[in-house]
Amino acid sequence: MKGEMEMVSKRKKAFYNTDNFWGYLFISPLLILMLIFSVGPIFFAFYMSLTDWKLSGAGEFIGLANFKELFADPATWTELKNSLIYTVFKVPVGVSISLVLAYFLNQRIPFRGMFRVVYFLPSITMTVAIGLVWRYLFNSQYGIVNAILAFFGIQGPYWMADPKYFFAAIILVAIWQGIGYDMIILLAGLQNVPGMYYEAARMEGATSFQCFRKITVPLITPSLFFVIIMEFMNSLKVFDLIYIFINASYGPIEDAARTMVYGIYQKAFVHSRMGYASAEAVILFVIILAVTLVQFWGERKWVHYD
Amino acid sequence: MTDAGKKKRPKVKKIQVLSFTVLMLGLIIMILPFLWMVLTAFKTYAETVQIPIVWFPEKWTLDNFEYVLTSMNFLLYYKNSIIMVVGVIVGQLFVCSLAGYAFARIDFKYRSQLFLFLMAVLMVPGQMTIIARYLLIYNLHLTDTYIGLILPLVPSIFGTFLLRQFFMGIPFELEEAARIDGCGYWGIYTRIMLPLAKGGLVTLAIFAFNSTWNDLMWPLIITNTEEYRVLAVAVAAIKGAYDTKNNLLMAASVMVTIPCVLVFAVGQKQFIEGVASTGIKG
Amino acid sequence: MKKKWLGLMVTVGLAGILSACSGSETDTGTSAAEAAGQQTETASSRGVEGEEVTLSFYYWDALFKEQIEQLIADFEAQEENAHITIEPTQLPWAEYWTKLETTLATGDDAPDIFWVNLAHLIEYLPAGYMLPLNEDVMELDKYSQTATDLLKGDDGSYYGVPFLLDPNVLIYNKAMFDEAGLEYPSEDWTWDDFRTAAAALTKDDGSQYGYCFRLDTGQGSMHEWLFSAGNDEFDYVNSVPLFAEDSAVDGWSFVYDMMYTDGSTPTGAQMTEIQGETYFQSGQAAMVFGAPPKIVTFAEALGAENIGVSTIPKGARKACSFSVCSMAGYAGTDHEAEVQSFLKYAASKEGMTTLSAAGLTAHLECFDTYEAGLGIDVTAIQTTLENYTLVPILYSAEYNTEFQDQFNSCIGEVYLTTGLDRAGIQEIVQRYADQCTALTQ
Repeated sequence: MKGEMEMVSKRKKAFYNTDNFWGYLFISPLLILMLIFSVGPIFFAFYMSLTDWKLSGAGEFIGLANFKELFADPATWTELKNSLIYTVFKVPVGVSISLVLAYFLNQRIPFRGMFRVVYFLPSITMTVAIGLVWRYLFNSQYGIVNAILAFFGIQGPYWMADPKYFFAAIILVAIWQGIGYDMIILLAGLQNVPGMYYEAARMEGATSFQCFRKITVPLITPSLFFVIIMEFMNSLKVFDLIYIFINASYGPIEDAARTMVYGIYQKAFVHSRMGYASAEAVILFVIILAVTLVQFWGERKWVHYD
Repeated sequence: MTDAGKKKRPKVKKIQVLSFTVLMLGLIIMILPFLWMVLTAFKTYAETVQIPIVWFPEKWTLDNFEYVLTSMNFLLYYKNSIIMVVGVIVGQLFVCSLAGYAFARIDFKYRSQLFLFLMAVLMVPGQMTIIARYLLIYNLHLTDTYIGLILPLVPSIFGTFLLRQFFMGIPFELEEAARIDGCGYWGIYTRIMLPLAKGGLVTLAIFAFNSTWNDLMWPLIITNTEEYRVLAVAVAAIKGAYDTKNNLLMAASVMVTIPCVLVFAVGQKQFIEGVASTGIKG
Repeated sequence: MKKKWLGLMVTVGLAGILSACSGSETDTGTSAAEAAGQQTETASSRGVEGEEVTLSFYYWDALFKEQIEQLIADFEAQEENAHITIEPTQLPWAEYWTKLETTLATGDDAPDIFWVNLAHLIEYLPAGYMLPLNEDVMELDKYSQTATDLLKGDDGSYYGVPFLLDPNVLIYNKAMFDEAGLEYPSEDWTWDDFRTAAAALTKDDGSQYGYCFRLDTGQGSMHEWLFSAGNDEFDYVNSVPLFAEDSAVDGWSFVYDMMYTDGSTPTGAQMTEIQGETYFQSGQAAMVFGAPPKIVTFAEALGAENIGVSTIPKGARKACSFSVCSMAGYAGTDHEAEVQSFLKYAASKEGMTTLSAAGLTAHLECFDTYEAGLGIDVTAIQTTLENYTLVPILYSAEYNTEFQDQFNSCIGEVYLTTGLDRAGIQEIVQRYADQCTALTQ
């Protein structure tokens, strides 16, 4: 940043018209507010990870002790594993469904506005209501999920009592809930796809599926790239839904669904170990950073701007 | 500005039939929890604890709404939530569109490094920074103020990234043409980029609305007095230590959620196939 | 010109970071307790008589809203308190502790008066957050000693006014007893009486259970069985798990047999789907254990005329769990004198009578007010207070939440595993007890 300033001042004459001037001017409101309200607290959190700060006591610098403890704790590995499993299922399935739905919701069909609202509803329904109703839908005796399975002759499990199925159920609900947001971004992205492209393709006898694959998908790659990056980040940071489901459950089931942010939350606000929680947050940060960097590196290979 | 789709209207395409059918099939499952939320707002407490679940109230009652409205100062909460949301939306649209445009189109030094640096901010879970943020706001004497509620939510990296993607999709030729006409960056930003990225701006506004409107933790931590209490906090306060009366909670939730539905219903009308771009690329 | 402006903006931004970091570090650097201590010393000098004073007051329960406001209004109406204004803030229960602890971290922004429950009391008291009460605040002989003992610090001072005292009771559905032609539960029921009745009240088609167990760690769940089996679960002072001892295994297997041999309570798997209590509230179970506030809720679901209250059946001893909520002052308050006088008013018979309309207070002379407000015969609560060993649900002073997690998982594993015998149960609970012990080493 400092070097930047010096460099700018050397080219004084052309300054008004330089890209540097305008670029920094345009990002300055964001940058300044960001530095004040987010960057400081983040550095603080990083620093905390090296202390044994509990809310009710002095925090002393303890070096990497928190990290050593974390790596030695099997719970950390469970949380990491669960976060990864969640992400691996949620992101591809969620994004694919959202993409197809956005494409459908962009067609000229009756009640299109209503459909869009309905498919967005899960993202604005109270999480409490979602947890409650879905728990009921997964009920072995009264729930619709097992009723459907029974229709195909499959004996449905106790979704809420078996650790495996419990976590699977949460992922299903998460996919269901996340569709709305992704769909909107993709829908907005579809506005940049000129209708004439489709016309031209149809003239050449392309089917709808070919149009979708050859025209729609490539042209909304900027939005798709955004959705995928955000999905990865948010999935690795998943908390709300896990919290709601775990809070209403008991015993070994809880461990089956603990994700990293759930662990961080618990360490920070239930066990009041801020330093220890921060250490886990730092690990999560490094993982997300790595995943995101890989994606940005791959960006030019498949994302088409203009 | 010819709308290519219109010419074809009389002929129903296969894709339209498929879309409609699939969307119809998914309808129930998408709407169910929301429906339960609305219906429960009209039930008695006894009906909310039945097994199997009671979907429709036997006798529709408005008691829950009456209780919620009389025991709480809902008008004040609406006012606070609206002030907060409007502040955040206006702030984000301004700050994020400027920065998003710069990151998309202005070739300044360290652009990509800075962008990744900002992205990194998104990677730290909010639970970890909330206490430090609170301490900061407290030391700036901004607790129990609208500024304290709004300002920290304005610099949205999410929004900047979103708009950057939209700006990057807008053809370079348009910018070149404007530049030849003597437009500077500011002129291009206001006259070309903003109007063409309407879809992105609407999307950001919808997102900002929902996340701010439903945000519980931040307003809870940053405000103490009733005077600055927002809807999300008021609704959460209905949940008790021993029991949660779902009929009351859902009545309050409905009053919080309806504005979200309306905002989205109005916002989604901006997404109309082709119109935004047919003129551009030709 | 513009360059300077840009430079200035960047500087301000950086200064922002620096101030943020340094500001926060100072706050961590100083122990909250120390800070609180320092402030206490100056507190009395700052509280000048006659000056306008505003006290903040955090509490969580919406049920008490009316009573709290009444209490404050009555207090403020007194002439000598004319200069005091109390601002109550009712916070969501789920986020109450996060909010409170966040403000405690700053010190200055913390509420002058707050509610605290037992689980947090044992953390906040040693941390020095709570104000020692003046001796005249509480008339000790008017309060349940079980409650006040928990609020006594090592220095002999009391650190809070216990306004809410919830011992656990047996709540039953009268209509179901009538239908089955059984007598209502009596106050000298033993475990076996309970088990026989529960079996008799269970219908084979699964439409009605005699009892609904609860698979959580709240009041009215496993605690009652272990406590009445003569076991204390934990030695919370020294952080030693006791729940795998022989007496405890009696409790664990008794419930297990009711669940899987008699079928008189829903199984563990069923309760992961529908919370145990819901069976009672929806009229599909005849008996449940619960704290007094539940009586009101259950009456709303089933009708007050259908609700009966008795004591927890006797096992090896007459015992049950109980909880206490207290009103405490913040040790670092700037207005100690005013806080003391508010707490004194709240602790008076008049103040406690106001609160009694919403719940059972620990003040012994307010029981009638409470019962009159309920409209249900709750003499069983009085019997419990007089004749029962009341055991607090406390896991460990040092590893409180960690032990609770282990205990919670233990309940889950025992009752979700089918086909266990006594030895099998013993093996599971012993494993969790060992894990608790391992945590302390």
